[in-house]
Amino acid sequence: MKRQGRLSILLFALFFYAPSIYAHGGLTIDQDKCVFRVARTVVHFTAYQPEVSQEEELCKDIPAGNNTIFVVDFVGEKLRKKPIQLSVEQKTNNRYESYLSKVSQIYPSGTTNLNLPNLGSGEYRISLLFNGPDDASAHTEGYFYITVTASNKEDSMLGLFDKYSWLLILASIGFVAYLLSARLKS
Amino acid sequence: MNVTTVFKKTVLMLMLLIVSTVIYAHGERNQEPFLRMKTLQWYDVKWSVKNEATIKVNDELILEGKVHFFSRWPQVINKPDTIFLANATPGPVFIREESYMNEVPMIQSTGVEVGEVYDFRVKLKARIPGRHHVHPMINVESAGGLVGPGIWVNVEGDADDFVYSVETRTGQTIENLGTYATGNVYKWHAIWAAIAAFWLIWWIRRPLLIQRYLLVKDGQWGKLITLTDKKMGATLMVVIIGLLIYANSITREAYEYTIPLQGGRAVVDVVPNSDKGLITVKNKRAEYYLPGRTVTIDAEITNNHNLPIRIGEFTSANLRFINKALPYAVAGLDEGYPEELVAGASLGIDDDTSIMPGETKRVLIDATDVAWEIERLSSLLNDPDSSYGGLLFFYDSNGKRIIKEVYGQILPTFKK
Amino acid sequence: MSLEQHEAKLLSAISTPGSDAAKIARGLDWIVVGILVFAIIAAYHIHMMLTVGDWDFWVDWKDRMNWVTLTPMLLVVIPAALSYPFMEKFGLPIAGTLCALCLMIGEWASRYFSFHLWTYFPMSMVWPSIVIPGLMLMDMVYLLSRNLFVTSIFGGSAVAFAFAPANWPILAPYHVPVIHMDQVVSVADLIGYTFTRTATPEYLRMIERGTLRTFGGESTLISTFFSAFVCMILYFVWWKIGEWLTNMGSTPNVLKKYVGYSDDVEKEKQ
Repeated sequence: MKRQGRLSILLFALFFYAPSIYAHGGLTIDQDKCVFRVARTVVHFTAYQPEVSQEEELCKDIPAGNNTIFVVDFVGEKLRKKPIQLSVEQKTNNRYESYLSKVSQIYPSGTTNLNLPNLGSGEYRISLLFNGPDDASAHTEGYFYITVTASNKEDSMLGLFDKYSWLLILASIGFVAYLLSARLKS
Repeated sequence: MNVTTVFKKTVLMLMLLIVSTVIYAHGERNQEPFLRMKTLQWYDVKWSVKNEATIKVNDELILEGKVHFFSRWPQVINKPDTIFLANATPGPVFIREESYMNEVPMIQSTGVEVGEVYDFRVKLKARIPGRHHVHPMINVESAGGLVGPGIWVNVEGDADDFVYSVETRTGQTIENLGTYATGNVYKWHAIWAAIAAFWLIWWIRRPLLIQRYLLVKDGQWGKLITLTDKKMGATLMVVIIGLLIYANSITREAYEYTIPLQGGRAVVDVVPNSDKGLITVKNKRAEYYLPGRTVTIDAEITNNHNLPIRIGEFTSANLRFINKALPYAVAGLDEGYPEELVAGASLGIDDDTSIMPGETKRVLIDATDVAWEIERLSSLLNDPDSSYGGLLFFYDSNGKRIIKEVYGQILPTFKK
Repeated sequence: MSLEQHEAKLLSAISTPGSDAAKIARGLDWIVVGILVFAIIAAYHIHMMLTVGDWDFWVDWKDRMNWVTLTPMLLVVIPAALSYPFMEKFGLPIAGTLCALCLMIGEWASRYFSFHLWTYFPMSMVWPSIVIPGLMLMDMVYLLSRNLFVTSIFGGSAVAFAFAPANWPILAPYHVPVIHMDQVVSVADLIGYTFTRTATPEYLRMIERGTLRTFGGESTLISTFFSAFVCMILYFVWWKIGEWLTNMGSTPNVLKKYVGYSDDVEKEKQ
């Protein structure tokens, strides 16, 4: 009875760690978690690490220690007509300081990218400064926060579960088969 | 049911739930880019009103232009042997008054040939107030609706003011097609509903369930269905049949000349392309530079024309990339054309000098815009057929436009 | 089959006018009728939408072949199945009538609120077909004959025979010819062309593809006869399905023991 109780609790707890909750990226703009807003228009952020993961799109959680390319897409039309000040800032001593920045310019093609070789772990943010749509003096800012972590991801509880979820599925099938065979015997 | 069985069932259910959530983790949303790049290329599309214009209910709106059916039609969908020219609007907020392809009326469906270009013209009339997007569209059997460029139109006024009248061949004028003969429909439905309601009330007024159930069980059919009931049933039978005969005879008198639904097919002839062979385009290599959202086409172009030519525009999936250094190309962009469909940056050409008559030149063409990413056109790399298609517009020194298809395999790259 | 003692007592109690038993039984009648009407509207309407579907929704799908053939066949199935419990358990020859009226309520609500108010289709385009006469005739035949074979043959086929004549009075005005863009089309075709159905291109219309005829009668008769024969078989089969489902049995009512009838529960379990 006690063993059954513990098993039920364990299974019930595992239910909440199902990987579906953590799916991200690769969706259409309206559903994407990798977007942020500036002056009420949408900006999309993607990071690539071509040597490690080829075309895989990363955004909020990026593995450290690899050559990374940051791509910023201005989805809203009005962002392509005014100069934008784009910079990557890193968090040091609870303050965000400039890590890499681009000269204020207009991006008529609506997209730009930055190369960050050998990106170190830490907290970063993409910062966009933009002259307001109507008033030239009014500035609008938008930020997108990124976490770059050293790749010990697999050791975390979630990473472990993700990696071995196939084992859980196999165990479930085994358990179902056991139950069915028990029924057949009786 | 003892505790062990309950426990086993709960465990089973939990396992099923966990397993099912894993399956949902890898869903994909895609709008196949190959459908938009290698099926229809719309160009010279004009609307009779400007983008974001305001018109009133009952005002007309004309869409016209050209539609090119790509010769490298995707293998995975049916060829356009059965198509229908339509308009992509939110339902009947506009009504369709007329539609033509190469001047042939398009009430029915038709068939076209790939590799050819057709003129289209659709005349709409505003019906419901609101802000609506209006595009031309061609439905292709088994492929669905393939939509062209669209503009926003604001319609103001009262929907009740809408009127569309038609004259029949029997000399009758239909005041408003939307309410024609509806009074007659309501009348007959009401008559039949009344008869049905009468029959139901005839039974409901007596005790229904428990009493009748017990009587049936006891076999007292005389009490359940009396002679009066049978007489009423027989009378109703006669009334129903009589009413059907009467209704049909007055209808036949009123509508002597009727025709069945027309399900024919329209036939549209191809207009021969006199410019075929004037220019030859061969795609040598194409790449999609992901970080820059740039499609680069390495093409070999041969000028078989008797005048020098230059590249003016590249268009694919309703996106237009204009060579801003060529005045003829810039003139080809109408004022008021929806700007989200035109790339902000110019079409990049590494050697933009004219290609002389008889010359073959190898050119690198760059089309950069965030639209490749927004429209998820980059996901064509995941398609079963990762190739692209588009049209190149050339202009000779007299400003004559020659259009060629360009297509080929496309490779993703992180190198510029 | 005869009544047990407690049932006979109940029957006499209910049959006494003004008794409490009669009032309670009547109350139950109203509750069940209320629920049943909504249940039948839902089930029958969804069934018709999923099977007959477009042929009933749109005026330019109401042809002389598919519409006239399919609609009666699909109309007859649920009323045939319901005929068994209604008549053989309650002595009520109203299955067809009730289903038809419920369907009309559901269809009119859907056409007016969804098709017309919400998606702007004009009422001349989306009126529903008339189904009441045929289904009522089916009930009358059952009432008068109380015989399965007679009802299958005459009642089942009546649903088909009555369908086209019932709808011609309301459909005829839509088959008047019109010249549009130098082509002759019927008013129904023109309505379908004019009021854009964005995701429904013309080639999807499953109608007879034919040439122009001056009289709209010949094709209809053949479709009607074919439909009638199939309806006869369908009525029989579905009445039998209704019989099987009704007599499947019942589970013991275990809630009875909470109100003191534990003996009854034990008896029922055996």
